[in-house]
Amino acid sequence: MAFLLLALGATISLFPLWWMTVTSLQSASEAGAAVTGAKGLSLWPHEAQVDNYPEALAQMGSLRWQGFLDALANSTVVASLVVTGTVLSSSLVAFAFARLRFRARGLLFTLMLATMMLPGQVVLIPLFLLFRYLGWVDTLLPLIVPAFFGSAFFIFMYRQFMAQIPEALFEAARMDGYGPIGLWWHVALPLSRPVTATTAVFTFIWCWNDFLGPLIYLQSESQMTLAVALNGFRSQYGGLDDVHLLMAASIVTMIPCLLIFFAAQRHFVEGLSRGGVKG
Amino acid sequence: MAEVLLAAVSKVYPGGARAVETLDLAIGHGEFVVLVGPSGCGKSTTLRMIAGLEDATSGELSIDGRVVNEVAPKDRDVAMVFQNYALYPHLSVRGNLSFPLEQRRHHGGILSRFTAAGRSERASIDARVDAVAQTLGITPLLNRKPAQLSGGQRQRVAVGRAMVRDPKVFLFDEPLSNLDAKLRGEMRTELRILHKRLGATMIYVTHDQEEAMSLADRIVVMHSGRLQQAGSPIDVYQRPVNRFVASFIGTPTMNFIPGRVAIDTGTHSRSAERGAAGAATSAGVFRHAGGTLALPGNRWRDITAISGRDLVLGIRPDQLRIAGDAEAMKIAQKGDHPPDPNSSIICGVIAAAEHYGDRMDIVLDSPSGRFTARCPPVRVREGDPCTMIADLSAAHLFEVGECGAAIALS
Repeated sequence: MAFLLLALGATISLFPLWWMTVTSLQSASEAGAAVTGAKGLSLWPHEAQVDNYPEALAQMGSLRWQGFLDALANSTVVASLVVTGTVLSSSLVAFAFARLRFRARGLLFTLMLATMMLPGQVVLIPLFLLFRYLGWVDTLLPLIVPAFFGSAFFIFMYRQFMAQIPEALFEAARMDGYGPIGLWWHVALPLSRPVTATTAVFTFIWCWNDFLGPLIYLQSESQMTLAVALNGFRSQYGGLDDVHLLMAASIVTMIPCLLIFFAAQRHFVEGLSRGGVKG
Repeated sequence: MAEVLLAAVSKVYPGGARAVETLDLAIGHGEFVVLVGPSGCGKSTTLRMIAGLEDATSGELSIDGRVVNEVAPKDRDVAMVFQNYALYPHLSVRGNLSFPLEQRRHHGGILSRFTAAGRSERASIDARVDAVAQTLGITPLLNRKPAQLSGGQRQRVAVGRAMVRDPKVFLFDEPLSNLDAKLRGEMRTELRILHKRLGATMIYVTHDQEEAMSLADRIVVMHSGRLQQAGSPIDVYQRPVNRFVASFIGTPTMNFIPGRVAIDTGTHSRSAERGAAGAATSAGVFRHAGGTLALPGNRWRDITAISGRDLVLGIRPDQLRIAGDAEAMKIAQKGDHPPDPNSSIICGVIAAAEHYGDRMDIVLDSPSGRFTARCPPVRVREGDPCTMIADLSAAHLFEVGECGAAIALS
């Protein structure tokens, strides 16, 4: 029974993905007809048009292939730097909150958590003004640099996890000659791998799919990330004629997220100490 | 090797809890000192202050003549083995062993493997780790992760991680308490041998007095943050300074009987015949709720001084034995007179008999309280009446109270 429910749920969730795949393999007329309702939804392409894929990617942007490659490079640079920055800064801040004693620690932690309550839209305009003042508009910097200042939610996650690491490990490392940064880098961070995996995956997916940020801060085509480039593609080809190309491009855009998710999945569940400390 | 000196060291926690009270202790070069006491006695705090993991509230702590109160743990040249091993779970055994050395590298960093200096340093670290692993017999485990090791193996790795740095002082914080009894005994022997081999100063904390007795050159008994007694295991066992030390050291616990000392002229004349030492002092008797015990005349320095005072008599379980049938008959015929002036009898009912194969513990309920005797195995039944003979030649007298001072022995 539970299995049936799960299967049903999975079917419902996965149907749009399947539909995207089918549409991306259809010919222009077939896809167009399905969208307008002239023909029923087909669950299987009559004739797989694999050529849709190169065609879709090539047509992204104004220069053939150039738009796609630029966007791919930009997205990769932004996403990897944002992931690195978020993991490093969040875990470092969390380490301090979890393991160091300093004045007003509790107050600062509450303050940090309070920033989570602030809706992103509220800070949008002040942030834009700030980045314009810094001359960073139409560069990738506004997308990357904030990640190096920590993310409240991930700091919270790291802190909870690091607070559970046995104190003896840190004491042993202190006696072995490591200072606070050494404790963070050699003990706290490696032991927080499950949190790092979670942080990396969610940050990557969020960043890869982020639409609003790049849309606001980036202007020239050469700076676009994939999510925005896809949108440009849509307004250009989003007419009913070319829905098959849009779907093909969308699927290509999704692939890295899926790969990363499956690669990191097994680390989510990994336990904390795995026997290094007994009792 | 190093000397560790604690001069009037105290530790008061922020909440006001006094963990250690003006502790004075000098630990010599290459000495194996065991701090022992019940939980909360301040022994671990003392160790952690020597390690530098806790700051001393007052007093002076020095290692090899250098005051280290303000010195960071890493610069004190001490290594610590933790109760829970504290192995890094993400590193292999080799990684764990080389961890303290990595920090001390002069040519470390990402590029070290590309430079000659870095490579030779790496090689010397590996050699050091291999040598330590060899000593401890853990070479086959070098590539395993801590999770794949048994408790005893983890303990060895933890000891190895301390050894690899070749520190002046080794600190052990109840390192064997997570092992099963058999392994604990083996590791105890190995630590003792290791100490002989390394000749290093070792400070060891445990709540297990048996472990303390078997390992220590010198035992330091602590209670409620205060040093009670420091001395060789035999000294502490034979001449406890107070009732707490007497009750803490030795298994089963020493028997204590409250009562009062009185000078007995009859016993005096008998002990006078026995020798000059006995003749010099008066012998006395110890009157307790269940009868009278004859005190040997030459055991205490000045028994007349304590006559008439409420005291507590302490008898080790191995100084009690069950009177044989013939002996019991004789005692019954003679009345209350024991067969030997240094012995006395205690009558009661056997509450429990615990067999250990080579010996047994008999718990006797008497009008003066409960006694435990450790004796060769005999056939007894719980609930039977029983007569015990106490050999008081090694008995102790204490002032009343948990930490009542011992009456000076002669």
